[in-house]
Amino acid sequence: DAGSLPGWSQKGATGRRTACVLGGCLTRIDVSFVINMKRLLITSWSLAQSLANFGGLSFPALDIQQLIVSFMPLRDAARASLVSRNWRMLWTCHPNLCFDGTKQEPTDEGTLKIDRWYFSKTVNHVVRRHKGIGLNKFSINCDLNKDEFKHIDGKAVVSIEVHPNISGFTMLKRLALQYVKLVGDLPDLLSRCSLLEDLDISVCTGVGDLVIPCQLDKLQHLRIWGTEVQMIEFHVSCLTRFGYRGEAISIMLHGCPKSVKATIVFLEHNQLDHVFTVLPSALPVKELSLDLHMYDYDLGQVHTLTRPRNMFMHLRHLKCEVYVLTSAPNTYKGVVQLAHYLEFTPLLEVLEWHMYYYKKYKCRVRKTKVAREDYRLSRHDHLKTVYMSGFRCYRPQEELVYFILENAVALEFMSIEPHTILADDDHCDFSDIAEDKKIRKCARRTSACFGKQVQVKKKKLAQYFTM
Amino acid sequence: MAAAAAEATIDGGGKMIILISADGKRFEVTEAVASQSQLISNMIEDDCTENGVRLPNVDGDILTMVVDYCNMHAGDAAADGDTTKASSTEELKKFDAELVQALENPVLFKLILAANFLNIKSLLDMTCQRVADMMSGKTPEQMRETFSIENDFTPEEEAAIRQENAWAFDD
Repeated sequence: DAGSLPGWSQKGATGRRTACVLGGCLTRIDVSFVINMKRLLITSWSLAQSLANFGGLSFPALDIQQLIVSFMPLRDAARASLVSRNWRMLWTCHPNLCFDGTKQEPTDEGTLKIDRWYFSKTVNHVVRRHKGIGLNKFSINCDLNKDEFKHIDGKAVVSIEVHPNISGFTMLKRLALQYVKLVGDLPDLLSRCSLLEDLDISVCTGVGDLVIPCQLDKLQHLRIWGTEVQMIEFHVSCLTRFGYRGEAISIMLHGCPKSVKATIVFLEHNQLDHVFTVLPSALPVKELSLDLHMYDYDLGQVHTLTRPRNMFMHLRHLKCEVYVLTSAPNTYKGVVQLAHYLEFTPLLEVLEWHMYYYKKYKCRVRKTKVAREDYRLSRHDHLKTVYMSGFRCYRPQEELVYFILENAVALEFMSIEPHTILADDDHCDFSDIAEDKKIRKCARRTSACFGKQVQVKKKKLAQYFTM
Repeated sequence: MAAAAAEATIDGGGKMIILISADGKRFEVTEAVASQSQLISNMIEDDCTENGVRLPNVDGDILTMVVDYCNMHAGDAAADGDTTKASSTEELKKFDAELVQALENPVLFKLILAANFLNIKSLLDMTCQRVADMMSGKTPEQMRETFSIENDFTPEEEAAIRQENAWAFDD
């Protein structure tokens, strides 16, 4: 009942404690899970109680003992359980449960260093004993590799149980779960986190459906990454960023603001159609960043090109990383599909289209069943800038360029670049650089033909190697 | 409100409030200084400070310390107030450290109780932090000794707890 306390300025209290909340600053971790929570429950400090406990010169009253223990490091707090009966259970309301099983020096003296061999056992033990009251900060950080985990309990994950009777998460602002095996009802828990601002679920198991029926009006960042989920449904009125990586599932974000920025990575091949026909109704994005995989084997789904029903009515900036797997880049028309789907983004101004061709050998190429006429871009009134990378003068690529130049009446600038610009630099491809001349020629030709500026960007190889 | 307006004021400092300790000592402080105590702040809101605030739980020497503390910290409570009066952070830290370092345990406990009663969160945190620091790194026996706490466990209970929380005692 923190809201009605007569005394404490809650603002001050939470402000001070937040200073020590760990960020999601973990990198290079094989197995870890991190949960940061901001002061779940402010311990009740009623004036009446302190008056009742006011007892002259003896050790300060129980509330105060509790406060003292909360200022001690966890290990010392637990040792204080041996002081006397009054002290015995105090540590089980300790505000900070921060466990660190890494070899690094602790960044925060409130963190409990645990030898990696006893890590799981100790964490489980402490978490089970803890009453869950007054918890301000909870984080677990370990970098045990899978082999070492085998020695511990045969499982490569730390699991968190979500107890159905926890009702005190009303103050939770940030919940970040990484590599966590979830046991229990996460949607139910999230339904009771009305102040949640930041939710990040990465590489977790046991999540199931993420259907949260109630409003999460403070939620700004939502990221569900590499976690198997069947369905995502949230009511969010303040969302600014959304991230998803996984299979093409149903995503519904009710009440989502029109200015949201989204990053979406679909793992299956050929999901362009899904992106442009299913997502717009759920996600009124302004900026969209996509990873797409195209594979020449399965062309069935582009047979019937959908007429736009739902459109990305607010999309201004689209950035795509397209991975194309084909042995016949000159005939596989996967990338040309974009021309059709640009119709679904009537207000798009900036298009970044980065193509990366995987080589595929010894595979019979299926004849493209879709005729060229099927891909058509009708007039586009707002597209101003197009950056295209990974441009190797493959026929479908040229076709796409022509489509855009022909129909984007407001186009001011287009650049084509032989190297693929990817967020993840590992994929940089230096083959076929000799194509440069051909590309320049193509640029000049198209530029002259359509009367628009087409620039060929060229990065020096050295630049790549020093980066 | 008419009576309140007639009360003594000083230049720029607002209304004055009289605090009266258990042994009858009187302290005159500004409203801004006194409102760091949530208890007194509530009383000011309820307009019941005109005849002085009696604090039957707080001795004069403890209240002296509390008033000193509040005078020093009046600046950070009202950041937009008189900046010339506000002490620098460095000074405050030094003052705080000296205030709690020198105290004997019974006085420290009294100060904690006063901070709790008056509901001055920063003072309560600081004094409790001091006790926590004194207890940290000690064995349970040393903790008891430091604060003269009686051991009310049987040896069997003690052994059981030691085993239960073995992770904390393993070194």
